[in-house]
Amino acid sequence: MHDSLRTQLSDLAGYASGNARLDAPAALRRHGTRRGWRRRGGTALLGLGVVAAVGAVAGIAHPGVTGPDAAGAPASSASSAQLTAYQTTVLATAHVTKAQVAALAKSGFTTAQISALAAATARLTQQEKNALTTARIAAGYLARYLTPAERTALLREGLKATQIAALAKAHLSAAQLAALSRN
Amino acid sequence: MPKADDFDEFYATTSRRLVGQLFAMTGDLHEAEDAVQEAYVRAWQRWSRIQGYHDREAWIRTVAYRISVNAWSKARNRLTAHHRASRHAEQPEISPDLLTLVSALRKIPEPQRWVIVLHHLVGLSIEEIVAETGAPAGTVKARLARGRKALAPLVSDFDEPRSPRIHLAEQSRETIAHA
Repeated sequence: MHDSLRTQLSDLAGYASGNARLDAPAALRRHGTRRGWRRRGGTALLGLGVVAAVGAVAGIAHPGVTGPDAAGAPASSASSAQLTAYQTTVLATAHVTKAQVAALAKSGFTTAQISALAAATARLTQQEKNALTTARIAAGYLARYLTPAERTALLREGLKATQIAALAKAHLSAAQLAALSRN
Repeated sequence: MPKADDFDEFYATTSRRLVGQLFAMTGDLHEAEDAVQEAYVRAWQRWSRIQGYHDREAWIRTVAYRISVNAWSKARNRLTAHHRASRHAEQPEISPDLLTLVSALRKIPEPQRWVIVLHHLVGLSIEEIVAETGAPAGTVKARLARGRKALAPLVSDFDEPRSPRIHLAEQSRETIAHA
């Protein structure tokens, strides 16, 4: 058994190389190409969603200006601040409830603050993330950026690291946050 | 050479070797197969760029390694490997010696294991490992030292070129002993 490490590792690799069952390269190429199509299709759809969301927000920010799709509709209608399908999916996947978002919005959290909170969470090591408490984020990383009321809101809602990351990913607009805080 | 032919030839000449290296890293053949194949799929998606790389194999190895250590991918790969395993015929038995080595390797942390594989199996120098992993040279040396220490009970030597200073010291000791 006491051979050199190089010999032993070579034997190990030789066993794996000899017994590996690999797909044909053509199958992998097909897989890669199909995935590329799906991704490009998804990006295009996402792009359309973003354009639609920007149009909706612009409608609220500038009530006199309406986009071609919104012509004739009231610019500040409640639907313009509704979450897009993408945002809903992202938040639902991380089990973020509407009540949690509404509570944050009511406490005056801005999109930028949520992003900063997510960035601070991302800096934590995996071990810290596993034992993450909102109190840790609030006390350790963002205490100086948060007002006592905002900190209380974070603690009360007990958001997890994954939920904070989802909130940042959903990138809720000011109009959407405002609409949620009114609900 | 057409793009697809070039990819196929590269795959044919490197894939089994890379599975061997990843197997030494993961200790799981199906996981190694899946990580390597996934890395090739990703390589194909960027083949026009990767085709021109000086060391394409290092790119695949790095991507496959990242796939294998990524926790989420790991769970997914395990599931895929489980499905694949159920389709596959039984794998030939691994010898008890190799099994002991696999279990010893799995006991040391992943970064140390990867450095051990890169240095002792792939044959990369410290500088090359620094270039491939992006870790500082001191970190690479420390990981190598700790990994070797953990594996020391299993191996007789680590194939390192003997330092002239140590060699001279041994010679002096022998001379003194003979005197």
